[in-house]
Amino acid sequence: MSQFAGRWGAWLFGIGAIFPIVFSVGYALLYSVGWAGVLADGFTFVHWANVWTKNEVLPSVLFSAYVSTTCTVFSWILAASFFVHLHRKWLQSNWGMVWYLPFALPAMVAGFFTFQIFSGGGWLARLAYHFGWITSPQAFPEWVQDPYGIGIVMAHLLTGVPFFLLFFRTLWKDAIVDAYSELSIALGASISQTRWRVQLPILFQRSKGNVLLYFLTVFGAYDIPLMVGSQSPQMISVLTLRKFERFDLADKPEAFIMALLYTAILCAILLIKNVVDENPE
Amino acid sequence: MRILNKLVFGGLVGLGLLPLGLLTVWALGEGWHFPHLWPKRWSSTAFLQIFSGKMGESLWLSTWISTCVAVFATAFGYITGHFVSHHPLKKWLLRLAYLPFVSSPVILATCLLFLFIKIQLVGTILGVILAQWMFAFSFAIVFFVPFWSPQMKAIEELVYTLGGTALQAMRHVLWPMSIAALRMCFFQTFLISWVQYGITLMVGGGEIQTLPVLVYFYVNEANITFAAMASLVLMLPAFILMTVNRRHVWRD
Repeated sequence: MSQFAGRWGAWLFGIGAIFPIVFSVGYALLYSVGWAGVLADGFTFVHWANVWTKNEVLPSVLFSAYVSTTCTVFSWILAASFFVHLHRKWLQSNWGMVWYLPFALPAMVAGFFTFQIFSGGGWLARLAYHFGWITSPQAFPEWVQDPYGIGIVMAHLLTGVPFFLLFFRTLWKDAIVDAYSELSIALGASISQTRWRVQLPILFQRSKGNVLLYFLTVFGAYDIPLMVGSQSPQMISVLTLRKFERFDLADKPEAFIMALLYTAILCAILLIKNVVDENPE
Repeated sequence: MRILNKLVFGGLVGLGLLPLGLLTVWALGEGWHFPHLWPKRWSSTAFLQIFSGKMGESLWLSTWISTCVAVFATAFGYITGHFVSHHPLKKWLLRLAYLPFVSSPVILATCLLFLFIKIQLVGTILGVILAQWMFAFSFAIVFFVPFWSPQMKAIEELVYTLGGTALQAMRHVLWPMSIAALRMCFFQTFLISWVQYGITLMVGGGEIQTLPVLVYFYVNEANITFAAMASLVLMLPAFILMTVNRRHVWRD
């Protein structure tokens, strides 16, 4: 196996893992400076300059960062609160398994479900109508396709909370949190002190790497923002594809510049993840 | 306090069941207009579409594509994971392997589309399989690197020390020890491929209509019944995985 894997593994790694990234970054870089693509008229920085003057790209990056931070923070806090308060039930009751069902929702379905629940004609709006709080779908608050990304956050929470619940379940056993909690109580700490000074810090320290990976997943998400996101601002994946598919050819280099910016952010966060993984405490 | 905890837990269980319950209601109901909370009538039209029509075709196409992606990603990931885990630059190679896996599929596909056009794979099933395979393969490498631990290497070397051949080591030692990991990786890569929307749309050029593409198509058509049924079908493999894997995830 060693010889076989050594010979073929190197080739496969090169073709399957290295080549797509190197080609993507190389092609995007050449396209952005006018050396590739339909607008290849020679070296230029015009497209890079356009990106900063159009005021579209930076808001998109910041909006993506805001949405992913909100989703990550809320998912973690909700999952941690549910788990820390009810960990015995999560660990022992078979009914707890039910909460992992939303984790099985593909992003496209999570987006569709959120739209059907939170839109003006959705299920919550119908409930509000029957309670007499609204008289028409238009009177319902704008929770999907809104400028604040509420719909996107809701859809991501639907899968994010179960993701962290499942992760905490494994972590709770691996990190023998129950034993530390019992020790802390035996030493005179209250239940509240044990939660805040023992259980939550352990969960936080051990989940930092996964928190960053979850942040990255939301940051580059496409399906959910496409379904429940607004036209402006748009998340980075949606805007990149929109610019790439526009009839105006001048927009294509900007799509590649956005791809490069995204890759740079991705690499930076992966480097942070490595530092976090190597220094867990 | 205990009653409150029970109530909160019961409420959370109800919330967890809500997506599945509502999707089922939407999939089997018709004439669900504002402000009705429940559909006016029940219908099996969308359910029957699973076995025939557009949804049936998409189901088989998705199954075929995801199976191919999972088979090749798992097999190649198994070999490449071995290569990476025993390489002196393991840390750096693993970092590189993470890149395609955590990248946005749509952004990576935007940059790779030129290549797919040049090799004439846009709008073909093979093109979609290849594009999805890159992500699944990258995941498979990351999955198998911890599996090829120093202990596994020591066991393999022990077989050689005792006079076994490479084929015997594979057949009698490594293969039986790998089956569980291979099965898990197959399921995971199958799911990665199963839910891909953006990359399928780009490389498939809209001609390859897998289930996620069909869900979006139905949503755009405002055909809620069919969109909900296609969503339920799309969720099915993940439920199967969770049920099959229940013993490991839940009871261990």
